[in-house]
Amino acid sequence: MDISVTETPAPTTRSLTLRGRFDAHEAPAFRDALDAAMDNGHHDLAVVLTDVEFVDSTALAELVRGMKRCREAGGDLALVSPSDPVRVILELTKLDAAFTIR
Amino acid sequence: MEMSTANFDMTISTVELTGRLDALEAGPLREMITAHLRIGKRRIVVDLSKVEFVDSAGLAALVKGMKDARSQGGDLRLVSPISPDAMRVFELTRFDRVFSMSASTADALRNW
Amino acid sequence: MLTTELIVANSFEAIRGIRPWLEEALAPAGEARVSAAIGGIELAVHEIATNSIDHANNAEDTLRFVAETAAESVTIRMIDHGDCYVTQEPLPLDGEPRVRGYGLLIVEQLATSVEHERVEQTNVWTLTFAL
Repeated sequence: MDISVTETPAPTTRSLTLRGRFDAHEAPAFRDALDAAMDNGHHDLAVVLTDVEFVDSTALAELVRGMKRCREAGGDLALVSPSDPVRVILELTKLDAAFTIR
Repeated sequence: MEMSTANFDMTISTVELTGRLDALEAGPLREMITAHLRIGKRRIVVDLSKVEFVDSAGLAALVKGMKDARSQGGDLRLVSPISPDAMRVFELTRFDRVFSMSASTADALRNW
Repeated sequence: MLTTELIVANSFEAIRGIRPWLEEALAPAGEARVSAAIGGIELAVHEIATNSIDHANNAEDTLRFVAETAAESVTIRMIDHGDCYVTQEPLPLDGEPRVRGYGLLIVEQLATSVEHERVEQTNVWTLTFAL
């Protein structure tokens, strides 16, 4: 068997993995981390939400803000493996249709 | 809340195979996929369009690669085989529904 | 029926005390009902509390919660000592991503009923949930 490999480049994605409670108290720190990633030139972000136990509308607002910023810069903010609490709030607000979810 | 960051290499590696993917060939394929994942290349397309034959050993190498890639936040996707002797094992095991399969490399890359 | 109270500072950090308090307050309903319902109740109460912290200019700097738990339902009241803050217009659920305003919309979908009353110098929110 012959094997040949071709590489198709794509922009590096910066991933942010969150663990614990993502609520109003955490929103400023998340916003800072996101803004820092964008200031460093990353417009393709992936927020990994597998281990997020609680999320509220303030946290959701930060994700929406981040997604809009990334898309305006020609990239995207994707939500990766959302935990059940995250899925629930995305469905309640119908934002599951607005985000790229992997 | 803890936050940790990392860079994901989003390069898509397309692996084009020709010939037979059987027990003899499964090992080298598995090693290549593992090597890719080890250096952070999590997006792999395996092009089977020119492969004449795939058996369960070949399938097992692809399945392991797919699970490993997905566990790292990526995926291993297939360009469908054209030869019936290559496609058969996927249909019999219903893995044609588990893998993301495209008609061409262009489709596979575009849909990522 | 069990009545329990919680008083916390009106900070985002302090309202994390809602969850352990709910576990205690809902206990009479039995483990199965509680584990099915508590996630939604926690989120709804948390949204009402956050709304108050954001808008009420709460003079007394505390939030008081009272839960009355029956076999198959619970009523939770939140009292703050702030200004009367206008209830937001519910947003259309059209999938268009907006940054603000999902809090009350979420509560209305999670609770059986949501009421706001102005009682003298306090805001009283009353939420009921089926268990």
